[in-house]
Amino acid sequence: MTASERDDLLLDIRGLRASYGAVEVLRSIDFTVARGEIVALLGTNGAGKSTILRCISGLLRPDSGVISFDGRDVAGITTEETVQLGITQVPGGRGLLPNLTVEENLRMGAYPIRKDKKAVKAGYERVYETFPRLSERRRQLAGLMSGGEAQMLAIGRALMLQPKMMMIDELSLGLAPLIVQQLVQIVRDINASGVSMILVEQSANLALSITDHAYFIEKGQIRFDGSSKELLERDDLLRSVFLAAAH
Amino acid sequence: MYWAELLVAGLFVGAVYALYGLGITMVYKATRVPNFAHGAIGTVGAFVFYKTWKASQPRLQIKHLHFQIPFADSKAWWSHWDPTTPRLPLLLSLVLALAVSVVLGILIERLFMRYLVGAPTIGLIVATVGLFILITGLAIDFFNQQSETVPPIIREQRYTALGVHFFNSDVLVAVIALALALALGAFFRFTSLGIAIRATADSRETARLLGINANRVAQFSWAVGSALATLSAILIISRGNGSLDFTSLTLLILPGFAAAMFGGFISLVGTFVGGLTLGVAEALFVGIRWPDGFFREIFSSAGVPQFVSFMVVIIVLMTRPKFIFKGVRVDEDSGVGFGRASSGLQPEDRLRRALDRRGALMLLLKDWTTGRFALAGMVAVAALAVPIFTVSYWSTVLGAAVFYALIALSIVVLTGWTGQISLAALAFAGAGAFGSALLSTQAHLPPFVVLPLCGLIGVPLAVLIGVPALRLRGFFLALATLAFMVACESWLFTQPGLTTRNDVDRMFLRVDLSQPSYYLSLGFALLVFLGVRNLGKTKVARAFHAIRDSENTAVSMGIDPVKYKLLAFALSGFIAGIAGGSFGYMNLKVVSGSFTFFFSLTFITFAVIAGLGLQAGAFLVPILFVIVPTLTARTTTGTNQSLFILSGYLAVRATIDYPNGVAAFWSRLLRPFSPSERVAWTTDEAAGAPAPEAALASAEADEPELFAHAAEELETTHA
Repeated sequence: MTASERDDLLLDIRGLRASYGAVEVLRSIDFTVARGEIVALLGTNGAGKSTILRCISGLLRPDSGVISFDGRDVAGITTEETVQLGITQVPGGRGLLPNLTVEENLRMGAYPIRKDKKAVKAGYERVYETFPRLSERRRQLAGLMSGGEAQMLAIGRALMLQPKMMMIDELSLGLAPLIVQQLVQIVRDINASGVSMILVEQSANLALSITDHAYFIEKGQIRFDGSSKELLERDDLLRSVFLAAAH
Repeated sequence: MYWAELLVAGLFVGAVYALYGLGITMVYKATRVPNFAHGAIGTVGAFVFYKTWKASQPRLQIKHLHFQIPFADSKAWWSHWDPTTPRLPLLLSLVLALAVSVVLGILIERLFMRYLVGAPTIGLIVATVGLFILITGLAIDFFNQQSETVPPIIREQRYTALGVHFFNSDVLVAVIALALALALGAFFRFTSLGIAIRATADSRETARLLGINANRVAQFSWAVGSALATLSAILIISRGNGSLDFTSLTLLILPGFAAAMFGGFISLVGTFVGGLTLGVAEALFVGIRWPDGFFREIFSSAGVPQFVSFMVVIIVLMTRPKFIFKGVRVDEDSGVGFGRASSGLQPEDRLRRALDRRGALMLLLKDWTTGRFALAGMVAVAALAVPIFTVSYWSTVLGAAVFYALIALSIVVLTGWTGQISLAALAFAGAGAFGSALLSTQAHLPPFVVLPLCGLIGVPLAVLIGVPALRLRGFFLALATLAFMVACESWLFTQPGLTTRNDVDRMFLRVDLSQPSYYLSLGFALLVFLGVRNLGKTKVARAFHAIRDSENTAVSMGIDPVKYKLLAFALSGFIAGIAGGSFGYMNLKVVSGSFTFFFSLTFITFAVIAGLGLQAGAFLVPILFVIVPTLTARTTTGTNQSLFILSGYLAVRATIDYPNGVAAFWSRLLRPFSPSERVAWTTDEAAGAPAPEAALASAEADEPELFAHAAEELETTHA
């Protein structure tokens, strides 16, 4: 995707500031996602990546700034409303509901559309088709699954709604390379089906290999905003932070 | 046949317990809040029902409800509200009662519990204990609290099957309990809302990310839990010739908790089975025909069921059968500490800044260096001189103050310092009080020997309940101590061996005056306070604090938790025992009614408001809750509940806003000034800029985990 095609913006964030208590975590962030695109959001531990996601999903009310999604100002609206608008999230650290079964987890993924039985059923079918493994483990408690299966469930749950945009917090964290490869393929497929994505990662190589556009964030500020290829060459940014991950 | 009859009777009583337990499980399952106010909510609903139902006797059907504003002039027109009670048919009354309890549940969630999401377990316990006292106090003010017999809901009929007799009302209760357990179980398993409730309990944040309104889910759970409380309270009273009174209904909280415990506070069917098990165990144990002798004597008094409940609770919690506690972490490390960390300026810092702007802070601090001694001197003079120059009444009041101070101190040492939440402070005190009667009247020992011995009586009792504490933490410890307290109140303190020998002989202290006994108590209290003050500077106190803040870390530093926990319990028991002894000498007659679990819970709220972590808090308790009320209260007809209403409310508010209590505020406000503070004030002022420490942290590494707590707080205020 070239720069000119990034005009049709799905998500447009301008001048976002946010803080936890007295501590300012985001200092004037500009961040955009075009329709149908995968964007990588990179940065060290504590740079503010997850905070951006929290602001988008409505878990955290920003101090100032504009977040517009699909032409609507969504800054400061509740989480339920953002989910209704079609923003789903795969939370970091899996974020499953461990004492619920696989199927119950998926059912909760469709909570906002629970009245529409047909849509829920279609959701199950879509997820089980994408992840046949989940279908085998319907009745198993989510807390008893392996890391890879758990990540599949988390992604599957976010698919239940037919979202417009999916935010994945740490896709590869703690997973075996083979499983990561499988997941990457699935993420690509989901994206190809028209879902825009934000991929928050610590592993720069992985994120930059599947995205076109990338942001690099440090200490609450955007340090890089450009194509993923360009960022791969910016050793000054990457090496300082991803000593281990960037080779 | 005898045993079969007992078994059936036990099953029916157990169904009642199961009903209570279901509501407790419901709220716990959804919000992780151990709801100590459950019994009180149900009691309110039951009162609404029986006071409005037209089939109730005229005596129960008071024409007006009375409500008086505490501390107000009772003659002023605005100070009381006397609405006429309606007389409704059964169904309408039931609907009204359920509606009232649902509103009550929603209010509790909206006004209080919403702000306690993510609070440590001890905070949740204190908050619901405060609610329990608040609701009970209000309800006693509102309704006539006298015990009344009520008519049965359905026409009672006695049936006989296989030679066993039972009533149709028993069957009704059992069927309703079973149906509710199954229905609720199905609700949680199959409906979207039910699964959403479990999801929210699992991870609040993840649930919110899925579009679940966590607050609404919690509100729903509180509403249903409260309705269940009311339904069970009504059914419980309706069985046989039930009586409508606060004591017996609120006491059911223990079997309710015990039943819920069998389900691990998660499983509804487990709760139902647990209720039945408990009921049967009680009935069978009570039915044992003991041979003449010791056992016959101790198990013939009332309160044996409470003793059985206690034993069952202890056995289950100690053995922790796998089939009950599969998903439950009994030894959670969280829930030990009480205070909450938050960034930015604390209220006392803001007050210091405001004072400093007016140039008053330095003056105040300077005055305080000498003023503290002047204040202490005034208190000392008052404590010593008032009894001499006034009537005996005032030394009784001051004697009560000494009792309150010592009980609060025992709570401070055990809960505030060591983090072991115990609801049984008055059990140790009661033992000391009965000990003072036995030792002075039977053994003819002089008072100054009796008082230390009373303390020693408290020690083994405290260690006895301290042993389970070695394996239990947080909520489960609170449950064990609650069971212990109720067993002491209902069973131990009503033993004929004690109640017939409950006079205290003051010996050479004059019988007709309370002053000498007061001075004796005061002297011993001073010794205890000085001793604890010195202990606070030793490695023992540091070990206590370490265990409170994190037991695992304390162990890793080589602190023996067994030794220090038992020591804390022993010390707490000793202090409470002396308090009990002084109570005996002040009141001359010791009765079990002075050492109730309700009163014991009240003391927890007192201690939290005054400051749980500091010895000064124990010193403040009698001033705030004995001296001030005595000086300000007007003589009113009937009992004055305002003290309970206020302390219950303040305890909940304190847990939400300022868990450290008044004493901590006071000592932090008047701490020596350091120049770096001014820097913090100015930085804080610069348009919401971070305070220096916080700014440093953000510059170095703004780890989201670091702020997870702040974020949680923000989230609750935001939503």
